[in-house]
Amino acid sequence: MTPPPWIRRHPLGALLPLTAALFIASLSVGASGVSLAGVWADWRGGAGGMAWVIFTEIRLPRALLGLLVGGALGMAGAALQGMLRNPLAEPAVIGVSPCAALGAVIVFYSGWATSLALAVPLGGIAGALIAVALLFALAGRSVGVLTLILAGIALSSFAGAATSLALSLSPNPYALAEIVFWMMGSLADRTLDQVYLAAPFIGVGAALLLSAGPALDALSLGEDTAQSLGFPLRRVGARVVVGTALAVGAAVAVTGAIGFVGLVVPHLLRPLVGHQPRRLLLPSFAGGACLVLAADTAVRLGGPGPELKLGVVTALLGAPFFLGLVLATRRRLA
Amino acid sequence: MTLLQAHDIHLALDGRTILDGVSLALRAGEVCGLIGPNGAGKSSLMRILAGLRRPDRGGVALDGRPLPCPPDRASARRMAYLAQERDIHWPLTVAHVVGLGRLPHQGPFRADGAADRDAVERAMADADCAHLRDRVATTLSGGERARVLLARALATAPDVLLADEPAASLDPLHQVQVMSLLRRRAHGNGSAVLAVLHDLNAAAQWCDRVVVLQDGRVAGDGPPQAVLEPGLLRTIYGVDIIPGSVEGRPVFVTR
Repeated sequence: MTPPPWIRRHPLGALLPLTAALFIASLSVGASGVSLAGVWADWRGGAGGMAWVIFTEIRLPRALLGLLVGGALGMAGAALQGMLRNPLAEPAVIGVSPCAALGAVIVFYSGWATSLALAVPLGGIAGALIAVALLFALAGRSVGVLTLILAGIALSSFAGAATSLALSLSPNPYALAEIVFWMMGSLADRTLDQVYLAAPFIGVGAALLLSAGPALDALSLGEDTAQSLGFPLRRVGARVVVGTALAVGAAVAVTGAIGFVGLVVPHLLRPLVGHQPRRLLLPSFAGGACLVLAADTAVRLGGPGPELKLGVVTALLGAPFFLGLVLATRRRLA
Repeated sequence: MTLLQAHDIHLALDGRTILDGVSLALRAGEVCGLIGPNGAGKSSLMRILAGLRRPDRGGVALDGRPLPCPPDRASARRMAYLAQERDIHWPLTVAHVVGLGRLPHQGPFRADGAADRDAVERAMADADCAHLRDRVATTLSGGERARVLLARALATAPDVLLADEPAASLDPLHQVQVMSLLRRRAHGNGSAVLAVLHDLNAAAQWCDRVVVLQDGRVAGDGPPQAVLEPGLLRTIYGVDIIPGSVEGRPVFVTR
């Protein structure tokens, strides 16, 4: 399937309206059945009614987080894939998200979270930073598919085990349940304060990743050629590492681990931008936002009963996709 | 005028000496061939000259100033390096690959300007790959890919071109095209070209000067007809190579 030429010239021209539509859809769907018209009427009448409260306290944070978190995951996936020149790199697959979750859990567990609001995102960012730095040390030079995935498995298992350890030592069953649900990844019941907490980190992280764009293009021709074009590897690596850690760490700290967005989105959009790593970054932000907003809206349309966790949904859809991608890669290498 | 100068370069890897006191000055307007047997340290020397590896001792100067390692943006505009590895990691079109040579001339968020497009077109025409512009570079043959990557290096419009085996995997016609192109750039534009070559015939025919590297030392440096003599060739390659002449041009045949 080849996309029409105008989409290839301006992929954002198609993605931004779609993002806007899904954002509005996310704002208008919810368990309360409040419509946007009702919200509008309420606002005109002084913004004190139930509809307005539901809109600002429940729906708006949820839609904003979907936008930011999806964008962060999509763009980080695109940047990591460009840096490692490997379409299987993804914040969750290579262990960045699990390590960010571990960092956040440690903060939860230690009780710092109650004394400092910034503690949870900072913990998540620290976890993600350690994970990406370790990955570069382990797999950054040879950048073999195998090394990368093995390193990612090792990191994910370690982070998972350490998280389980923290949970099994937890003295409080309620806190335990809270952490377990949080780890499954969800946008439900978040507040605007959490949006304000995550947004600056995601913004700075995304800016860092964007600034690495030309270097990612240069890396298409290998590390030597990229360096000879005036892009020192260490500086590029630092930008991608810190950018990913800020964006993904903050996202995971607020919403838990939402997997596979960073894998699926760049992969789907890459043909639209002629496979150019730099041009993939912004569309991947928009595409990640679209995917998370759509999945989160679908989760709410699921009918009565407890709503599915978003992270579970993306993993259920993303894992088979990942397997297909591995098969395709294997066929190409064979 | 000396553009690029290496002084007393030493390099050891895992305790094995790779380069042992190599000095080399690359002048404007000359094509210099770097020849020597496999493992003589040619590619290591090229990487050091390009600022991609720091020598254990000695230094490299571009325009008389020490070359930063890795090179900064200004050096990247002056000097292009064609790697021996022909890696292209994504299925980019040929035009995009060649356009990457313009990156040192562009800011982080600036799109291609008219100067960039002109340079890319000229480089593609020079390397005879303009007709491939919309092809996906990863699907090209080895020789086509080599020309595309050479065009990428030319698109930078460098004053110093370091090319590691630019003529490898090229058919005779394209080998002649590439070598005469390098010569035109040196003689016409006053660039300095240093090319690793394995074909002695090509070295003799197209280079103004050859530098022979053996066991990490310079074993010969001068005009091809003076340097490529049977005694030296037997010493460095360990095989008898007989120089002859066809239509007034030097040829080399192994016995």
